[in-house]
Amino acid sequence: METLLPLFLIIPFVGFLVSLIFPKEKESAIFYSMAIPAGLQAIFAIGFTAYWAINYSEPLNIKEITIYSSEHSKFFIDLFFDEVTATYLIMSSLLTFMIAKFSRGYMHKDSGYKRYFNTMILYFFGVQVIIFSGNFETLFIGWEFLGLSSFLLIAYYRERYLPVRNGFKVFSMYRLADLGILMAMWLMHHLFHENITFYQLRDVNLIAEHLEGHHLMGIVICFFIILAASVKSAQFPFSSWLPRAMEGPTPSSSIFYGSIAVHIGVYLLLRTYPFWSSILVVKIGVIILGIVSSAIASAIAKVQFSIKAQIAYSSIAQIGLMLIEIALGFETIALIHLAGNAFYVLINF
Amino acid sequence: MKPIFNEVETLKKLKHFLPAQAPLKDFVHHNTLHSFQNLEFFEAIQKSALIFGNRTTLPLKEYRKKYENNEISNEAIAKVITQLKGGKRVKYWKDLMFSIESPEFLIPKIGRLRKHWQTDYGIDMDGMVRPNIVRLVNAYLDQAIAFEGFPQSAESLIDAIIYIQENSFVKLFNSKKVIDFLYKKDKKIADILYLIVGDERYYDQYLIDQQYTHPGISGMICAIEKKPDAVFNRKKASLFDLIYIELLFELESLEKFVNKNFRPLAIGVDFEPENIFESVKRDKYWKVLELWQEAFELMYHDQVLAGINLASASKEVKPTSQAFFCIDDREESIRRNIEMIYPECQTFGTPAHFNIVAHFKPENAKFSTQICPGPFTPKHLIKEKGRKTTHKKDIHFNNQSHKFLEGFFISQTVGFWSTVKLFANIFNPKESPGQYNAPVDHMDYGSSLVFENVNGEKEDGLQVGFTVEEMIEIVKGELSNTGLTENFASLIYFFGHGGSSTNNPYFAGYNCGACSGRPSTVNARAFAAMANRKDVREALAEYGIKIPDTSHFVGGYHDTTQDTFVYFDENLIPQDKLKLHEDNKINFALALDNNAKERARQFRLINIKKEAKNVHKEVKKRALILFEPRPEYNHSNNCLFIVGNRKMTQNLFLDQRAFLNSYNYKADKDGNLLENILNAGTGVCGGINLEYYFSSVDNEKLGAGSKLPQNILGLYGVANGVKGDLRPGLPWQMIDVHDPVRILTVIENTPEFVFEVLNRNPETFDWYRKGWMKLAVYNPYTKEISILKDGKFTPYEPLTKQIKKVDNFEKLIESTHKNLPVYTLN
Repeated sequence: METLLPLFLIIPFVGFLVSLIFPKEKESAIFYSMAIPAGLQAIFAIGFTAYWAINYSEPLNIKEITIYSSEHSKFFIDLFFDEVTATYLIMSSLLTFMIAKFSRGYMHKDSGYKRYFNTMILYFFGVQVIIFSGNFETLFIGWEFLGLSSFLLIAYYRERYLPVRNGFKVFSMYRLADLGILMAMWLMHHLFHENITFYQLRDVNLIAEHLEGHHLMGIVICFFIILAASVKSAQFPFSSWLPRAMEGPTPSSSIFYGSIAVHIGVYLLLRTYPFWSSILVVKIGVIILGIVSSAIASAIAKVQFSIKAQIAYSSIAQIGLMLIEIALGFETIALIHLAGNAFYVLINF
Repeated sequence: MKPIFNEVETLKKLKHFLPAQAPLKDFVHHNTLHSFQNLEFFEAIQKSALIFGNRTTLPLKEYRKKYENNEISNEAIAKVITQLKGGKRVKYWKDLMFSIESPEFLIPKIGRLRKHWQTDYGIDMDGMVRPNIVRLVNAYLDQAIAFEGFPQSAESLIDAIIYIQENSFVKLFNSKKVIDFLYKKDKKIADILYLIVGDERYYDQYLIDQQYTHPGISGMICAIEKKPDAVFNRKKASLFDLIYIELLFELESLEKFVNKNFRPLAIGVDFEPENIFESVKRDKYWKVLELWQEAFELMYHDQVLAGINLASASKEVKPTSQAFFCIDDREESIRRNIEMIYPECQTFGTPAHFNIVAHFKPENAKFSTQICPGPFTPKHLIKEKGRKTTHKKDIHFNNQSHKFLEGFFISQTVGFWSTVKLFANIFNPKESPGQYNAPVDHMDYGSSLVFENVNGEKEDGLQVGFTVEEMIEIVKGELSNTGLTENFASLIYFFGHGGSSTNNPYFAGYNCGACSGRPSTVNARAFAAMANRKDVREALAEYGIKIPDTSHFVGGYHDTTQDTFVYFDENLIPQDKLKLHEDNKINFALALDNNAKERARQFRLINIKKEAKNVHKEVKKRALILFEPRPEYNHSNNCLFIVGNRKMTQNLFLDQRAFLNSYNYKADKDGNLLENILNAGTGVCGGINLEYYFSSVDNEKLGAGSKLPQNILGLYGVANGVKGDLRPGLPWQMIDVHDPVRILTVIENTPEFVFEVLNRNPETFDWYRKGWMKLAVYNPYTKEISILKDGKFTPYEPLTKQIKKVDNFEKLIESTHKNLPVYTLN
């Protein structure tokens, strides 16, 4: 069953390649090159998840390609599938499919029609890489696709000043998140002396063994993970980028900042939960971060006079709450909360 | 000595030149360059371009492209040059039209003084002040979006700011000087300007520059100051307050980023103040643009004028039914479609407030709204009672969920349900609470109206209902204006109109302009009820308007987006006419199908090769889809205002481009009818046409840009994203098929008569005299056409000698999504 996992990356990527072929006058063809992969992905995802839940229900892991290998280190692509992946997979492909359908009429005749769909499907691909990633290296690849496509969509109206400026602002914030991931990746190598996969991280004994005597290093790693997560999910003190990201066309803002993109930080924390759940300081830290973000964002949301800014800040508040749920160990509630919020925010746009 | 700077004068000037768009709910089309309307059209557009750096005609290369595509002909160019420059210079000007180059980019006059902050001080004044001021003012004006509104927002802006300054933990202002100014008893703009600008001669220019860094929000403040009831939550907004606060922010920034004893901007400088609005010299480039624009306009207008002469009138048929529609260009096609399949139905066009000047208050509503043209001040109120539905509320579109705890529970529960609903909306759009439609927002179809005054009852300072005498006047005026004073049919329909759409901030622009952006349901229904009254009819008979007992009036409503009709008070239709009514409904339904199909040719995502009935189903859905930026094309391509008998245009295909106002020249001996029609119609049609014109030629600066990234602020305006200034004007999605052509008014009467009538009201005449609208007269006695040129009428000989006849109408509309030329239908 693991061998099917790469298909989930191939489908959107082929969609992306196909979408590049058509000239921009062929609106329908471009539309289908996004809608078909997203729809296919959604159907496949639901079927796959159902089959997996009944027959396996244990996480799946597959090591794909080794990119670089030497005596000391090894870099490889690793794919992973568990209930977190399943939730994100179904959510993101359904949402992407809906957005594709909406955008068809919404973007009709826009001069950037093709550019928009290309970027959206690239973005979808990035998300799939992230959620299927089995180690930090793989995750980072998706992370960069996501960052790039976000920038392109925020600065979609590239002939105007504000969208481009805000695009750059978000782009530079995202670099901070990259830094977090890279540092975490590097320190993990030091800690475990190997390229650790998320699958291995589930082994409580393995983590305890390595953390022993390196407690501080563990905390530093967690700090970088949380840094990356809070930038991506617009948590305190990085909240200001979210409302500014609403410069692109409305459907892209909704998919990004309302639903999928902001929840990627939550994903990162869920994914690394086995690692940091044993460190009390970190758990407390996450809870405080969640409380502070929620409190500040809901206070800000109260006085917003524009609809999109209000949605953005209330979304941040809900995500803060999800962080608390995760830190307290209610991962399942957090997952439900997340999916509900993502869909709900989308319809509000 | 008279002071150089006069605060009152400068404020007056600013209020005149800032964009004058009303808040969303009162959105009514108006001339974007209204502030230049005292000038001749081509002078005005050149001046505006030089001052504000906006584009006011198509670019030269666009015109030349149209020439290559045969959209502008050699004949038209020659005719225009002959008219404007004389017959001898045709070659010279024509060569120039193809050889002249567009000038290098000119720095607009606006902002030249302000630029010195950057060049002389190295500071970005706009970057420091504008975000603050835009945010504060938007929050202050917010109607109901924020849960915690702006503190003291019912007070004036300055008072509200003082409150914040006193009660806020983080102070808005820290400089002592600034705080002193804030509390000063006798506030004068000049006092702060003395510190910032220094030299009195520059004050005026400085303030104009400053307000034009955010024209959207300044214009909104002016609009609300002028008409406080344009917003539901009244604000004591004033331009003075805005400028005063903005200057305080500037002062604070200068002290902080330059130093406490900074040099005022205009002290010790080597440039002179400029009078930005001084008159400009017409140069060759602009004269060439004028020729191109005139030639482009002539291409269509000439066909119409020729067509009026060439299209033969239909045979007289005794009508069994009559139907009144609004003059709106969207009703041109439905009238034509009805007449084509049902010649026994005679149609009329008239502004759809149907001579009822009033306010309307839905049951349980807090406020009443105006249901007549904007410039009128109604003294009457029509009330609703027995409303069956209330405003729908839906938990999925409820901004309570943006609150923290509510949001927590909602996203865990109904969040999933919303996905299901969203999915359903994609594949099968249904009515949803984000949708705007007439019965929910305006008059509920199941309610009844209170339109008769009892015992002089008053409410909100308005008289509730009309007295019988007033009703007689209304009905008499309406019928004689439109020329229906005899030959009444058995059933006479009065159709109001409006448009339903979903998630659309411009909903008011889809409705009836003659009802201040509301659906004209109330007017149609109330008018029919008045005209059915026995006492009214008896009184009318004394004036010679004899409505037989066999005639019955029916109010109705045309939803122009969905192309559906609703009929009011059908239970009151007499038994013997029910059969006719049912037959009419079938015919109207067929006409609506055809009309929907005709409109759908511009919606490129619908396959129009299908049967009209099936295309209509697709068209209906557009009003319900959540993400549909073009539920309909509104007034796109409007360019004609025809005042005359329907016979003049009945056999012409005018492609939804004409406002049609019924007018019976035979009954207008003293010119009063024409005077009324022109006074009401000129500004409305001209305003719509020019807003479309300017939004098309420069969609970024004079329009609202793309609708796709727009964000609704405070329920009164739209902006791009979260931080930008308000965007007045029309979005690109409303004008993308519009040809920027000025409107041509064609009046059926003699030139002398029309000239005399126009001279009675110079304000109306100026629209034509100064070229903001064009004017032609069709003389029904001699069948000759004259056009208004240099203030007088001269005979006009159309270039077009032949108009093609439509053989297969359905094939014709299936053939292209582009604008079609004029055709004859018989």
